[in-house]
Amino acid sequence: MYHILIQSQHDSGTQHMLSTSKLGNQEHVSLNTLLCVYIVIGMLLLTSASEGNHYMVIKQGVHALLAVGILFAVQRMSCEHLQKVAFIAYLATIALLILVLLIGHTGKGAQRWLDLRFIRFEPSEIMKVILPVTLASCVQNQELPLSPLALLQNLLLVLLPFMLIAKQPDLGTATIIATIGIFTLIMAGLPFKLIRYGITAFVVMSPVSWTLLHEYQKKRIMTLLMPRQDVSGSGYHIMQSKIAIGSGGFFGKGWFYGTQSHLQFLPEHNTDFIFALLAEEFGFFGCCVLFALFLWILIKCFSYSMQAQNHFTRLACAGISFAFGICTFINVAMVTGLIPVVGIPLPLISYGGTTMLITLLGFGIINACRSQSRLFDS
Amino acid sequence: MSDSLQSNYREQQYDHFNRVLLAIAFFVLLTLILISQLFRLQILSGQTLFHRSLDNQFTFASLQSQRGQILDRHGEVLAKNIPQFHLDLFVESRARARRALDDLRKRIEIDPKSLSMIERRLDKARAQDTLRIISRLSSDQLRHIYHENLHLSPLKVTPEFIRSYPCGEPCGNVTGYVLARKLDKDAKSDNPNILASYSGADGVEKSYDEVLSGKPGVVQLQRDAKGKILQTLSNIPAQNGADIILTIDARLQRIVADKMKGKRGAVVINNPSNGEIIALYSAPSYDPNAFLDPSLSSALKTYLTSPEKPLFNRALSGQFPPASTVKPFLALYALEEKLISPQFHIHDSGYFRYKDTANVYRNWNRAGHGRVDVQKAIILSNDTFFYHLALKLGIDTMSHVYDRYGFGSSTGIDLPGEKLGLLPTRSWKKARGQSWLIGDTIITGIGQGSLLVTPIQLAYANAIFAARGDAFIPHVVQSVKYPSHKTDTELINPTRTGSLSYRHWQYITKAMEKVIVYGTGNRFGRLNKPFAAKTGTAQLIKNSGRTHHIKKLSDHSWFMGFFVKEHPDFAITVLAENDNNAIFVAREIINAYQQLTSV
Repeated sequence: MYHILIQSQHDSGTQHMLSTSKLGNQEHVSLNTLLCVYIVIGMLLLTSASEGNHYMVIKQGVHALLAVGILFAVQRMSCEHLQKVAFIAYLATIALLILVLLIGHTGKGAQRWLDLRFIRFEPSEIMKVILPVTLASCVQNQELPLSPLALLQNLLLVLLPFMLIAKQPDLGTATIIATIGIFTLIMAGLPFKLIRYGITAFVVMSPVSWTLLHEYQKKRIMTLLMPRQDVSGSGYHIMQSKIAIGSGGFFGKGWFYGTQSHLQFLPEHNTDFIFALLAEEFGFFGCCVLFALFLWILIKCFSYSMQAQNHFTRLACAGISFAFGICTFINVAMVTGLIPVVGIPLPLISYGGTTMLITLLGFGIINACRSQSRLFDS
Repeated sequence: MSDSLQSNYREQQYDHFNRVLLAIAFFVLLTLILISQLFRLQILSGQTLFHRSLDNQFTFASLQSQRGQILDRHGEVLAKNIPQFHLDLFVESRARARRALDDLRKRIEIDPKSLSMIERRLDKARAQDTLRIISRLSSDQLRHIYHENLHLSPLKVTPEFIRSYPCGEPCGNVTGYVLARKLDKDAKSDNPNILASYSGADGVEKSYDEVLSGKPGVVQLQRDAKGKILQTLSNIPAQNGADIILTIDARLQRIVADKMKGKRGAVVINNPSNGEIIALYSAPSYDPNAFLDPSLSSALKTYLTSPEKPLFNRALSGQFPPASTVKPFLALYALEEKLISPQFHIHDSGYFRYKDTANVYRNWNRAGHGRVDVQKAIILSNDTFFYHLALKLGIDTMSHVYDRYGFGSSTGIDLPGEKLGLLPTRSWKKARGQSWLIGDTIITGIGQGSLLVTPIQLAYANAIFAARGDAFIPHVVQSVKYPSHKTDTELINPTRTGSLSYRHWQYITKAMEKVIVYGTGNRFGRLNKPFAAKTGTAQLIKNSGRTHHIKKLSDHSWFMGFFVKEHPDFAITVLAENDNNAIFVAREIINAYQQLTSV
C-alpha cells in the first residue's frame, strides 16, 4: 500500500490536487488561528451572557486552554498511532455509554436522565468525534469499494452507539451520531445508487410509519427528539428566541445590551441558545461574520480531506468536519425556529467543557492528518 | 497490477474529491438556509420583533385613581373606598407555580373550593400570568402572610381600593352600584399592576360616573422574565375623582326603607321649592355591596333571579296609571280657565251615563255622593264629577294639563333609567291605528285608561302643584367637590316657572287638606301642620273596558301630599303595588321624620 502512495506523488493525474495542497502549505491563516478567533468570539458572547458571573467565564477559559492543549498534543501524534488508538477509544466510549445506562437504571429512574446533564452529555459528545475516526480506521484496513460484509460491519459500529444513546433516551443526539457515521461511510465511497435507495426508502417510509403510530407513541418520539424541553413549554422558548434574534436587526443592540438575554426572557442563553444572544447583540451582520468564519473553517477542513493521501486521513477529516458542521447547523436551525428543539450545543461557542474539549480534540486529529499529508508533499 | 492499482487509487481519490465538494456544497446550502432565516427574522420582521422585545420588558401599570365619595346632605358617607389586599401568584413557569402553590397550601389555609379553581386556572396559565390565590385578605390572614414571609416572590400582596356602601340597602336605589372592569386593551391581561377601574352601573354612580371616577394614572415599568420590576420609566399621576354631595337624607332613606319593608312600590320625598329629592326608594331595594363583595354572592343571586326584581327601580322606571291623584290638577285648571266656577256642581247617583248610551261609568261609591261640587269631588275623590269635567275639558285640554305637570316626558332627574310614562293624545291613538273615543276621554278624566306615569313623574307633578306652578327639575346631587378646587361647585337648578292662580290654588288645596280629615284619606289622621293630600287607586285593567282581569291582585294605591307653606319644603309621593296601604306608609314616614327633625 505504501508504495502506491509514494507513486502517486509523481502522478500527473493528481496535479491539480497537489497544487491545492501546495497552496495549503503556504496558507496565510492557519486553521488554529481561525479556531482561536472562533473561541474568542464564543468567550466574548459568554462574557455578555454570564452577566457578571466571572467564575463561569474563567471556567470556560480554563476549558478552552485545556482544549487547546489537547489540540496541540493530538496534532503531534502520527496518523498510524491515531488509527490504532481509535478503536480502543471507541470501545472505551461504548463502555462509558453502557455505564451511563446502568447508572441510570439503578439510579433515580428515567426521568432523571433528562435533567442530569453531566451523565447524559459526556459519552455521546465524545462519540461525535470518536465514531468517524473509528470508521476511518476500519475502512483504512478494508478493500474499497466496501464489500457488503465490511459495510455491514461498519454499520454495526454506527448502530451500537445509536442504540445506546437512543436508550438513554436521547433520540436527537443518537440520530445526529448515526448521521455522522453514515456520512463517513458515504465518504468512504458508498455507491450513490445505494444512497439514493436509502434516502427514497426513508422518505417514503417515514410518513407511512408515522401514521401507523399511536398518538402516545408519537408523543413519546417527540419527547425523545426533544429531551430537554417539554413539548408545551418549548413553544414559549422558541418564540422568545425568535424575538431575541429578530430584535437584533442588522447591527444588533450592542455587546451587553441584549434585553432578551439579560432580562432572562431567553432560555439557556449561555448554552444551547447562545446563538440568539449573538444575533440580538451583534445583529444580522454579526451572524454573517460568524457564518463566514464557520464556512472558512469547514471548507479548510474539507480541503484537508481532499488533500489527504489515505483513507483514514480522508475519512477522519471529512467525518469530524461534518460533525462540527452538522452540530452547528442543527443548533442554529433550532434556535432560529427552523427545526424543533433538540438539545445540541453550538460547538466552540456554547458554555460547556465537554463539547469544547472534544471539538478541539477533533480538530487536533484533523491537524495530525494534515501534517501527514504535508509530510508526503515535501 | 501496479497500473490497475494506480488507476483504482486515482479513481478513488477523484471520487472522494467529488464527494467532499458535494459535502461543501451541502454545507454552503445549509448556511444559506440559515442566513435566509436570519434575514427573514432580523431584516424583514426585525421591527416587529424589536417591538415584541420591548413589550416583553416594558409593562404598563395603571395607578388607580380614587373614586370620589358620595355623601348625603348631612355629610354621611354613602359610598367610599376601602383598602383591600389580595394574595397573587406570579407564574414564571407552570411547574414552578405549582410547586409554590403546594408549598403555600401547607403554610396558609386556602378554601378547597377556590383551590380547585386556582388549579384549573393554573393548568391554562401561561408564563408571565398572575393568579389570584386569595382575594380580600382578612387582617389575620395579612398578618400571617407577612409573618411567614409569604409576600415574597413569586407571591405578591396586591393592594386595591374596593368600593363600599356603608348605607347599604336603604340607599341602593340612589347611590346605585359599580362594577369592576378593566380597560378593553387590558381585559385579557392578568397583569396585577393593571388595576380594575370601576364603572358605575346604576344610580348616581352611573349618572355621575365621569365626575366620580377621575383619571387613572399610568406608570411604565421595566421588568425581567421573572416579573421583577427593575425600574420605573415614566409616571403619569392619577387624578382622583370628585366627591358628590347629595340632596338625599340618609336618615330618611332608612325610615322609608323600614316602612316599606315587605312591600313593593316606591317612595319619593322632595322639596317643591328647589327640586331636591330628599328620599327616593324603590321597594324591594338591593344592597350595592353585593356586586363587589364575594361573600354576598347569594344575595346577588337573589337580586338577579327574584320575581320582585329588586334591581328594577320602580321610582324611576315603574309605570302606573296615576288614577285619582290627577283630579286636583284638572280641577284647578278648569277653575283657572273658568270652564267651571266654584259653584259648579253635579248630582251624583253613583254612575255617569254618556248621552243615553249604554255606556255607564260608575263612581267608586256605587251609592253616589249626591250633590258634588269641586271641593267635595276632590275630598271624596268623586269619579262622576270628573267624568263630567273630562267631557267639558276634552282630551286635548286634558293632555295639555297633564303635559304641564310633566306627564309623558322626562323629568330630567339626574339618575339613570327614567321611563317616560304614557300621555295619551288623539294623535298617539291615531298612530296606533285607532280613533279616539269619547270613552277614552271620560276615563282619562279620572287618571285611568292609557295614561301611565312613573312615581318620580307624579312626585314632580305634586311638587309643581305644591309650589303653585314653579317647576324645579328634580335632582339628587346638591354639589360636586373637586379635589383640585377649594370650594364646592354648586349645581345650578334650572327652573320652569308657570303660575297657578293663587285663589283657585288655595281653594283646591283647602279641599286637599280636608282629604286626610274626612275624605278618602281619613285613615291618615290629623297632623299638627296644614297638610294637603290626594289618594289614588290605580285599577288593574278592571275598568279599562277589557274583559279579562286579574281578580286575585288588589289595586295599586297612591298617596301624594305636601305640607302647605309659602315655600313648601316637603312633598311625599308613595306608591304601593297591589296594596291599599300607601296612605299608612306615608303617615308612618311623616311621623318618623317629624320625630327625627324635632329632636
